[in-house]
Amino acid sequence: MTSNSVTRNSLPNGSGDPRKKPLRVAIAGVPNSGKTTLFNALTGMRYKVANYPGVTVEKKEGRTVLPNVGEVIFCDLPGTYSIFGGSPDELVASRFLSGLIPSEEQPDLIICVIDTCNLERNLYLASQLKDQGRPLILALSMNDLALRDGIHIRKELLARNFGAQVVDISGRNKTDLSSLYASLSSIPPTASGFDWCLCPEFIEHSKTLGVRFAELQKVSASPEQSIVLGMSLLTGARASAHPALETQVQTAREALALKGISAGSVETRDRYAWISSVIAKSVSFASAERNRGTESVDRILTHKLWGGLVFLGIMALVFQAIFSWAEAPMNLIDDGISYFRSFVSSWLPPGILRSLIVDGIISGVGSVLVFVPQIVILFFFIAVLEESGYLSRAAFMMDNLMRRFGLQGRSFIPLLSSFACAVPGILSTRSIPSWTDRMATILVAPLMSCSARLPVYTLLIAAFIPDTALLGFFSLQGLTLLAMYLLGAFGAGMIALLLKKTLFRGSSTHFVMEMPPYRMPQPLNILRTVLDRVLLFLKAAGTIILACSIILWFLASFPQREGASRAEAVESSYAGRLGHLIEPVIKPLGFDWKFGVGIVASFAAREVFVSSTAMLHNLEEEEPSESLVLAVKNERDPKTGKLRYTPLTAISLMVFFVFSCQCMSTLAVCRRETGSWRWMAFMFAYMTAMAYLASLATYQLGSRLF
Amino acid sequence: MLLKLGRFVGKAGRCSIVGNKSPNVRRGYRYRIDSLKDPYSELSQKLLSMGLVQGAIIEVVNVAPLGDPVQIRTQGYHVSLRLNELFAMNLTLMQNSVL
Repeated sequence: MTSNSVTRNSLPNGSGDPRKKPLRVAIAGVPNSGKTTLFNALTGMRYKVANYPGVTVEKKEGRTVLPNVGEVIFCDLPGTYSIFGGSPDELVASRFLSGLIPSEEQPDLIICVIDTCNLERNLYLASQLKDQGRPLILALSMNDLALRDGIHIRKELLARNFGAQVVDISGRNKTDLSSLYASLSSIPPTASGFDWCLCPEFIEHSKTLGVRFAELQKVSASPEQSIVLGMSLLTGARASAHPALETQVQTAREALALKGISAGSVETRDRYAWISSVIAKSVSFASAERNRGTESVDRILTHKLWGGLVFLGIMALVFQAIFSWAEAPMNLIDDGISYFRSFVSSWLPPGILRSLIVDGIISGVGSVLVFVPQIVILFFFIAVLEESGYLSRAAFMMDNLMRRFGLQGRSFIPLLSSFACAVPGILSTRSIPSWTDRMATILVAPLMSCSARLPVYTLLIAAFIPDTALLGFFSLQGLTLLAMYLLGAFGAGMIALLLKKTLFRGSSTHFVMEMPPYRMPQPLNILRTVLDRVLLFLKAAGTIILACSIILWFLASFPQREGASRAEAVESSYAGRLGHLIEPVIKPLGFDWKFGVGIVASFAAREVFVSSTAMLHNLEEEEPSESLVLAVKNERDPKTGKLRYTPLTAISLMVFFVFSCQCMSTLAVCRRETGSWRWMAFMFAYMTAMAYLASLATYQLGSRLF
Repeated sequence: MLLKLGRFVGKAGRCSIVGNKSPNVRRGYRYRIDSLKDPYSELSQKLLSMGLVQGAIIEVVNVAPLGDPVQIRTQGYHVSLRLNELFAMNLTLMQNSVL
């Protein structure tokens, strides 16, 4: 294991000594401080994203080679306001810095990014980092904005009063890395901590508790780390989960209370007092008016009427973009895939292999690739809204409404995004700190009718809903479509509320949320965020879709029948037999075996319903077309000669699609984000049950009433 | 049946949002934080880490459309919090607030 007290006073040279270890640098900072911008500027495209072992906390690491320094590995720590607490992000950050994560080496040096417009709060985290007793550099960001607000920081004074090296990395449009690079060429001395503390008794008690805690956890901790551990227990930031130790903590708190010291708040109070004095000695303020610009904008943007209108406008723009801008690239990809299919077809001899590759793999994977433009646009807009600071305003406005459904303000944008595709929606739930709120949002996200359901709705509405107008104005077909969307949203609300009252009962959730000043989104940050997420989507969804496509192809192609028409071939295949098999189960819902096949097939991807229905009517269609609509409408029962499907059947089927979980990509991403198969299974189970019951109720009640 | 459902939703929501006795908070109100009601709770730790400490002065700069949450300014930055979170702190309304 790495030793805990590494002091490197020698200058690592860049002459390429292979035995020399790379310099490990951790980058820490509060959210919105410019930490990610710095990491991106330092590592460019040479980075990788993974998860820390055993937790769903993202780990970003990048390498670069610097002159006079050699190889440097930068590790971007999760953005937190403190590293004391028990939340996954804070635990990972503090354990990483102490070298307590088994697969990670302890960093040689910490860079703490300081947003100079928010000195007190940023220095609060920095003082906690200083307690760790590791080499520390403070990197000042957004100094140009601070100067504009009249905040003038004297670097040498700050360095001396705070007790760590200070460099400026602010630049008008680009991060200025020159002074940071210069300071990396010689490791600063280790920062010594705890000079903020005015109560020696507090430190004493912390030390005793910390040492005991370390023993119980069976880790070896340096004196500083013991004190830090003890402080987090004493202040209540962390619970120790050892009953004997908890009693000791209580005793210590009482002892301190007798001396008039409140253990819960003394640490923060003393820290801020010390920080105030440091700032008073090192920073001059030209004017007392800060952040007024943001406030005036906020007054409009969060206003009941104007704010709402602006919000609707932005959302309309985003959806318009998704559905119209994506069309051209989607058609391009579609054509490309068709071309590729025919190319491969002409190349391979007819037979099973060709069928597998062309009809199975290429079609299956192609159906996912076609959605990539929509997903890219959606990720892009979410990233821009996030970077600019508008997302927190949206959460602020919607919190009250969302709470009535057991969710919170930050769930709003993820759920709204799920109207286009649930995968980006689920990925953007990372912004929700409360675990239960995040889980609830992830579990109901697929209920928001996504764009993949649209072809199914379109086909069924065109075939079975009469093209008349209600009250001479509202199209019945349009209203039905709207009803399906509303049904999904309503269902999501009900399920979230139910979850809150049962599974997630009694859990505490907090809304406390920083509202950063409006900022121009940085192109590099946006680019990397979008790229990261799209690659994640392709990796998670791609593999599972590939597997499902192959399975479905197999089910639909075997056993083969010579000389049979397309429809007959499908009927006698395993897929067809499966359809017949489940017919008794789906009959109460108003479906027959043909719809059964379609439903089974669409569990891989919803759009497949259309193409499989087409196949059963001897058509080659992939999209709802005139011929397919007519074929489905005029389908007759061979025994009675009557029309097989009625509008009620169609509505029942649509209701089924609203609630059922027929997207492997969503399940894959759910598993990834929740870190367990259980929740994925739960999502599938509850949605399938809901779909069945809702469809049953619709058909049975409908057939009694009409 | 729909009406009953609506009432259920409203009630469930309202119960968890704001206690009936919560004082009215408007834009321009300024408070001084005296102490925390329960210094060891998770919420208090969160508030403290956000800089809402004893002695800090906060000003309400904005109120969400339905009255809750509120946006406050302290030491130059903005934090939004629900009314129940705001009143988890012992506050003194300052004299020269806009009333």
